Amino acid sequence: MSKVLITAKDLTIGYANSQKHSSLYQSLNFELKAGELTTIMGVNGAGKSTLIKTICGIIPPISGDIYINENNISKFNRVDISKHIGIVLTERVADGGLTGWDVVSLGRYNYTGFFGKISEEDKRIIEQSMQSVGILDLSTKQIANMSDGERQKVMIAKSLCQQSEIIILDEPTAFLDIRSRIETMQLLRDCAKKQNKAILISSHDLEQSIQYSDNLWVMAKNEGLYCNTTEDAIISGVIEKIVGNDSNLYMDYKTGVFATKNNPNALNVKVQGSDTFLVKNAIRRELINICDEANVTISVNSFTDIDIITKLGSSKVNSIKEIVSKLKTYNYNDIN
Amino acid sequence: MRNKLKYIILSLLIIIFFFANIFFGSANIEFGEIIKILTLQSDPSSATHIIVLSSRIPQAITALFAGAGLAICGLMLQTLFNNPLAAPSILGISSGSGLGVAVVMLMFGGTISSLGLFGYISIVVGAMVGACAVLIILVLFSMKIKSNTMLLVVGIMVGYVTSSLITLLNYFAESSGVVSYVYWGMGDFSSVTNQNLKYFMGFILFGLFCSVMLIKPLNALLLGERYAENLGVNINRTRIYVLIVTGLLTAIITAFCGPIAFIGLSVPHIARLMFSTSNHQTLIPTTIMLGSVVALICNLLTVVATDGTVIPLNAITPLMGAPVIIYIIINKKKIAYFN
Repeated sequence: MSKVLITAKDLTIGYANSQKHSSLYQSLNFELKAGELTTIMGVNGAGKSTLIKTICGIIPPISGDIYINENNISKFNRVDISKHIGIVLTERVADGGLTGWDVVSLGRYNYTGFFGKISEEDKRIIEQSMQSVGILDLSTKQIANMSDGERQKVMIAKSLCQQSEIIILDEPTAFLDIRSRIETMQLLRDCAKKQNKAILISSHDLEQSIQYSDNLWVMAKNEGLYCNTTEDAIISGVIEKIVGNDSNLYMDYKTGVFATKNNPNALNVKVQGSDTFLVKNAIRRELINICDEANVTISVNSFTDIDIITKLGSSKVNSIKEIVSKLKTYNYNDIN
Repeated sequence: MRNKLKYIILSLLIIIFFFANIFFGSANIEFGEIIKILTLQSDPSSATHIIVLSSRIPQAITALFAGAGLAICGLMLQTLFNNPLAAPSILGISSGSGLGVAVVMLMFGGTISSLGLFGYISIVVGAMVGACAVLIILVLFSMKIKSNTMLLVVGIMVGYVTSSLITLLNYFAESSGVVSYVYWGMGDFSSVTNQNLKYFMGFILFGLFCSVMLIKPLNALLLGERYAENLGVNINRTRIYVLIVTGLLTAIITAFCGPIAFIGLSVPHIARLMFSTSNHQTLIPTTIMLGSVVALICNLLTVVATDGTVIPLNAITPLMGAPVIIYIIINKKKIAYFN
């Protein structure tokens, strides 16, 4: 059983000032455990940032309590919180003249003395953090000359350097290219699994969340906050709810992506054989239904050897492109 | 290694321009004579002796310290407000001192210089009160306004309000008072006498010492306030410290030397360009040194640019400062210390 690092009890979040309270969510209960990566999902304006800020102690909860290691966060000052939670924000670092080393070493802020002198121990931790993120070569590079992905990694190394058991990242992959996205997510997963950190991120990327995160928290104004392990969250149908109940979309549990519901006036196609994912992907894009009882059967022997069988006869094609163009020639009424 | 060389160059520049300030002046004194005076081999009652020891040396020392103080103010304010254009003159602290001085000078009319030490002290007190008033306003707003850019705008607005008050005061004052105020406004390093020098130096050394104390939080602030806060920086306290230190430095320098523009604004940029970093561990000492060098050069230019007369300091400093700022703006992409 992994250790529970953050517990929220009966938490109400939102913005409050002396005149009025505007609470977004009432009576939230959740836990963050060591060694787990958790993703918060929700449409824009659902309150993901508000929740993150509340957990980080930036805004106080309207009511209820958050505990870090069973200590109430309301008794913590900013310095105490900074020892437990490292954050990585969406906003770009304003300054460009610091080197990678400078930024990562700032993660030692709480541990260094009055003048911020880096000890040998600090140095070792900084190097270790940079190594585990794979950015030792950015030590002397200035932020201004770094790509968004490199900046993100530097900030992650900084938060590792803080040696906090919890790291919270606000949309860490939002501005990254595909490669940096994958690298960042793998890195975060490694941090959770190998360094036993509790990692909480917000994201809009469902597929990425399904792939990497242990837990999925889904926020929607009308539904509240739903927390579960990722797979159970998907099965529960909560994701369809945030997309909208009346929508034509549904979650395809076989592929882990959203699909549109079958169109009654379209061709029904059965795909069999090995490695059918890409073939199905191409067919689905043409608004053709994929189901087990169909008039057309596509048998994938290999990507260059594909049989298309209908009651009118069968034909052989040797690329996915040809499948699509072949299917388009079929008249719905002829086939049925 | 390369940085060490740059430090040596900066130190040499300070020494060279310090002595250049002693050797060159509006009065033409031979080099041999000056060396005699410096080695205390000349007649202490001679005019040249008095010029060198009670005018040129204190003036050079004033430039040395005032330049360092102004530059460090600019650096701290630029970091605090995360804005390349922040400086004491922009934030209204200088105009606050200016208002204080204006009230004193225009109240006494043109007679201020004839009042001697009392007049002097009242000008200093006026500048301090003015700067502190602006500071208190800024600190109060800084508690209410979370955004540093907005706080900068408030500073600029406060500066405008004080300027309009100064204009009003000037309009209703006697012409002799206006004249002495205008002269004060032109800035110069020559008004710190040997008697006042130790107070002037003491205050500025204290301010510089405080800036060294702030290196750690200033570095964290470079990441932005929210990151700094997460690192464990007490933002409000740091803000107030920086405002108080810069306010004190600006007030004391402005009171003695007038509102000197552009040194505070441009020197930190030159330091960043020269050492290509924004790490305060490097920037604080280099900005102090570079501020001294620039002030000494400016002071030298006021006497050598023309023959036999002294031109106002504020006629020189923008010529040195404005091109630097424009260069930074044009090459913003390439330099990107503020992006």
